[in-house]
Amino acid sequence: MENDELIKLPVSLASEVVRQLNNFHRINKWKECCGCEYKSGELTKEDLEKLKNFTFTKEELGKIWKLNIVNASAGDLKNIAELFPNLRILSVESSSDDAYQVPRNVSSIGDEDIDSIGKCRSLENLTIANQARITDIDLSQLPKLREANISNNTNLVAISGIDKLPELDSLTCYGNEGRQEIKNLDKAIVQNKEKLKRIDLDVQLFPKAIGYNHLDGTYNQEAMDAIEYINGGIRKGSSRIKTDDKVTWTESLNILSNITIGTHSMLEMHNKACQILHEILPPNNFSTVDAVVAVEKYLAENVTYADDACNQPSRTLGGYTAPGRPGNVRMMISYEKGINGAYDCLMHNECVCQGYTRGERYLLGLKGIKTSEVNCIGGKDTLGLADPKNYNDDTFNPSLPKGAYHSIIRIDDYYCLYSDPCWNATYYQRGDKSMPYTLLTKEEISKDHILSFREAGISYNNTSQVKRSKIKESFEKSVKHNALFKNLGASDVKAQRASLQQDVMGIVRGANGRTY
Amino acid sequence: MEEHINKSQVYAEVYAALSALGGEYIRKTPQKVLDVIADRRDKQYGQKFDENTPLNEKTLSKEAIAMLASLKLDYWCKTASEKQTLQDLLSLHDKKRSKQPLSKDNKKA
Repeated sequence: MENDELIKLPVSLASEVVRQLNNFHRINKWKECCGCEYKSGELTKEDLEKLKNFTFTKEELGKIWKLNIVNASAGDLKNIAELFPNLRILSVESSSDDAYQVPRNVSSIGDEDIDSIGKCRSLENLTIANQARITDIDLSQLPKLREANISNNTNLVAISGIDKLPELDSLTCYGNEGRQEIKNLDKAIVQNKEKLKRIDLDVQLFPKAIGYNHLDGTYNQEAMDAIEYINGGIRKGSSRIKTDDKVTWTESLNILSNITIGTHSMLEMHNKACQILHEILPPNNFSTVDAVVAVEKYLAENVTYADDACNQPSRTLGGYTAPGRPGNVRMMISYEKGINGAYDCLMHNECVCQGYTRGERYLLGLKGIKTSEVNCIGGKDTLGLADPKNYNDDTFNPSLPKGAYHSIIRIDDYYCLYSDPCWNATYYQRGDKSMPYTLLTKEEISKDHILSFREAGISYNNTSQVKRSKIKESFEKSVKHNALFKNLGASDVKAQRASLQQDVMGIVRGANGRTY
Repeated sequence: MEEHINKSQVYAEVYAALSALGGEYIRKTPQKVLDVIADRRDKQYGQKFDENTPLNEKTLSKEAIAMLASLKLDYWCKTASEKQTLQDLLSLHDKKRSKQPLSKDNKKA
């Protein structure tokens, strides 16, 4: 890139750069490029069109130290590291809802952009929020990073390099993809305990934060001590959002609101969860299905639906309307009582659907079973939001019903089958103990659940979505038409059948005495 | 894929294949069989079969393909003729194998 080269930027970036140049460096690009007055506030469509043709010098971009980018698209930030060598503060946020907005209307940067952000070596403060098309973040090349806020990125699976940030003093991380892997989280907390002044992590991340070993139930005492040290002790009663705890645990309700509990409450919940598992499962020799069935039965027997939550203002503190959802939908949310959270499910034995899902997720997570929270709407699925064909159809424009927004669980470690612990509990408590909503296929659960777009295959861009569908389609064909088996002999099959049967018989005669 | 893999890796491949095939195939397979595959699979090894990995003779081991064939014969075939077609294909291959001439090296020996 030559020094005098004129650089065009994507609109989401250009509008912010123009604002920063005007506010901090007295450079009026509107006047320079269009001969008009500086435009502040919301820009019109025409303004945005004009911005596409604005050009910037390398020197101008080198002046930028702060960017607050809203509703960027995949590819908008793919060169951010080279374009802005002096960037110290970066915030990338989006207002869209990838569960219920048609995919073409979802604003999000992609993995190419996040790779480039990971190379902005001057960054001190980074916020990445509600970016549905990113899958992993590597922070290891950001040695100056002091504040990291990574939240509500619904497909974000892995965050790495957190243990390579010597300056980190504030870490916020919640509401990311259910299986979120923060590599060496406990190690990072121990290493940075003198620097870290504030930690706000997802409730589901607590076991990772203390290095909990799901095989033997041990944990990293140093990490627990470091959490206590950073928190300035662990105070009883530090339970709710008004806490002055330095280490808090959060469950995201949507991009606008959260349930937050203090470390004492988190510990209480964790210990209760361990106790529950101790009572309902043998220490080992149980299958994934054993665990799922036992946990759902426990919830059905012990946790009741908070029916009154919808009607009592003191418990709901006013319903709200989530972006992309019908205007009159009143969500059942209580900031005070947290009835959508795992804490109320496990500690108060009362919650709404999302509480059941999160309580189950926490319990299964302690046994190393990976799960995801699934957004859906009650009712027969006639919309097909989760159908990959619709997901990729640019003309698809469904009208969402005004029914109840609901939450269920996907057992990722067991063929991605679905359970609805809330409906199971409701049936169970009315006398039907058959647990009809346990481990159902997508087809089965869709008979009375409208799954959200996220279940179409969960992806960061449409191209890979199409690719995945094609892979599945071609594999199914090769099984159906025997193409996959063309080089096999009967003896090969016989050997594998015998091997499988041997293990099946071993399980049937298992030491725990369970039969199937 | 010719390299030899262990049993838990075979289960990891069959698990990935079943997950890709989805509901209809999973529903037809007995739960105790699904449990063995899910619980005894090598999860670490299974990570190489993400949703973007094509599943075919090049990426799956012969053992995994053979186990899938046994599942098809035992649980997935809808009709007797569908089952017979696969059995015939497998027998044909066995026959071909037995009729194959000795390799040059073997002849020399």
